[in-house]
Amino acid sequence: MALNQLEQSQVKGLQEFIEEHTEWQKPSDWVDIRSGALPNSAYYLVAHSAPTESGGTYTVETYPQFPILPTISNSGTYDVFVDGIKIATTASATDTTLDWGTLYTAGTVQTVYTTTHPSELVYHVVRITPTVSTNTITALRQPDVTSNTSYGALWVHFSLTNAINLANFLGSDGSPFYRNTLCEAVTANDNELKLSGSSRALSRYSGALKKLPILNLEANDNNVNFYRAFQNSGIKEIVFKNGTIQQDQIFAGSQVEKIITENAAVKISGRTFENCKQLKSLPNLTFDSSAYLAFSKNNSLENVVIDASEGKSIVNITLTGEATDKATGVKGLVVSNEAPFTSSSSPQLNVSYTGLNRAALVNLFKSMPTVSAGQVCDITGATGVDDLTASDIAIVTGKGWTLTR
Amino acid sequence: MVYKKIQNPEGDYKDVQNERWDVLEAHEAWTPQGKNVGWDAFESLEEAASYYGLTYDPFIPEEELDNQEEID
Repeated sequence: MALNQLEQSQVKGLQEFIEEHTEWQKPSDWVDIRSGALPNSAYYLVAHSAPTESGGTYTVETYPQFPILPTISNSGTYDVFVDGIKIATTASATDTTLDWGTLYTAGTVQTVYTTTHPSELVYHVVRITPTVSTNTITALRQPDVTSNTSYGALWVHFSLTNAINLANFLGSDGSPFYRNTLCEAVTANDNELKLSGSSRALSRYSGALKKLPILNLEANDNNVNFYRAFQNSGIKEIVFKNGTIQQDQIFAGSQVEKIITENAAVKISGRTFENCKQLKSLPNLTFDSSAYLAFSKNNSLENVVIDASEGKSIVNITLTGEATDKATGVKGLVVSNEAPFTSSSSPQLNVSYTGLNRAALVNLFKSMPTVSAGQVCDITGATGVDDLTASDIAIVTGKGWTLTR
Repeated sequence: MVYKKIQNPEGDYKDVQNERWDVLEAHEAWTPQGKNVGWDAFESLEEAASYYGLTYDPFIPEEELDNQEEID
């Protein structure tokens, strides 16, 4: 029996409620690397296709290698354990590459764990810890590659008390690039991880990631590098604590729906939120010395009014939807009457295809500064564009702006 | 539609001296001097660019030249 419109909306609402309130569930055939995690360690659950043997030599076709590149304090060495067996001791900032075929051939590892999720795979528990227990893991990443590469991390768990730099942790810098598309969760003891850096940490990551711990910034407040940290990633919810996040394109192109700040704020910088098509609400924002404010194609925002009146250094604001998919949830914007709006890119203020009605547009016009270099404000396709009167338009043209629609 | 060319070092159009420009497009432009003052009427963006002696050459920021596979 088909559902009527009311029933359909009720079911949709229930589905959204369930998705919002369901924590990530560990697949039943994954070892729980949180349980009994040893201190001062990072754990990976790493998968690959079942090895095949011929003439005593093993080969692995899918995800054949898994490299690890930690930095250890005091330039100490680190130990690598696979399924509880120590297989390497390596110098800090030197990578250890787990070549599964080689390890199977040597008899160093064998198949202990298998999983049917996300598909029929073999997996191992990899543990990294400083050789000297008083040292710490200060950074963890994977090395740059010479061609686009995918690795088989399923889950990463941090059992640390110190802050760690996760730049290029699951996604890479530049091109060619690497990514860990199977990884569903990054967890930490007490669900909180102290960060000292995270540039491109999940960049180019896509799809599976559902779980991040609370990211605590207090170790390096306002200096934790988040450049493109979550760009194009699939993570839907991110929680920041105790600090200010600022960098260009932090969330650009990602699937993030919600950014929660606990005693924290996101400082707008460049294309911080560009093309975040699933983002429903904005976190606590600051503008301070921000020059560019770019919110293009954030078409899922709901009932958002942006108060950029403290942004006295802003040179360009792009807060737009698309002609075929308007950002109707963007309801308002006010700016600083001291902002220079002197970017060479025109329009210097763009609220096209947004939900700003006549009252919101007039409110924006009243907040805008007087300019003298032919600056342009584009309101094409905004909700209230056809309702503006000549005197409404004169508010902004009287300040030296050209208004286009 | 009305159009105006604006010099912009990061614009997506180039002139014969390889200077970069933007070409702005609007249904109407309300300027401090009046409606559409300083803007030119054309049938299309392409016609406007041709009139202005500009060719389309999208600007790629330096930081993205090594990241051409950014979009999956």
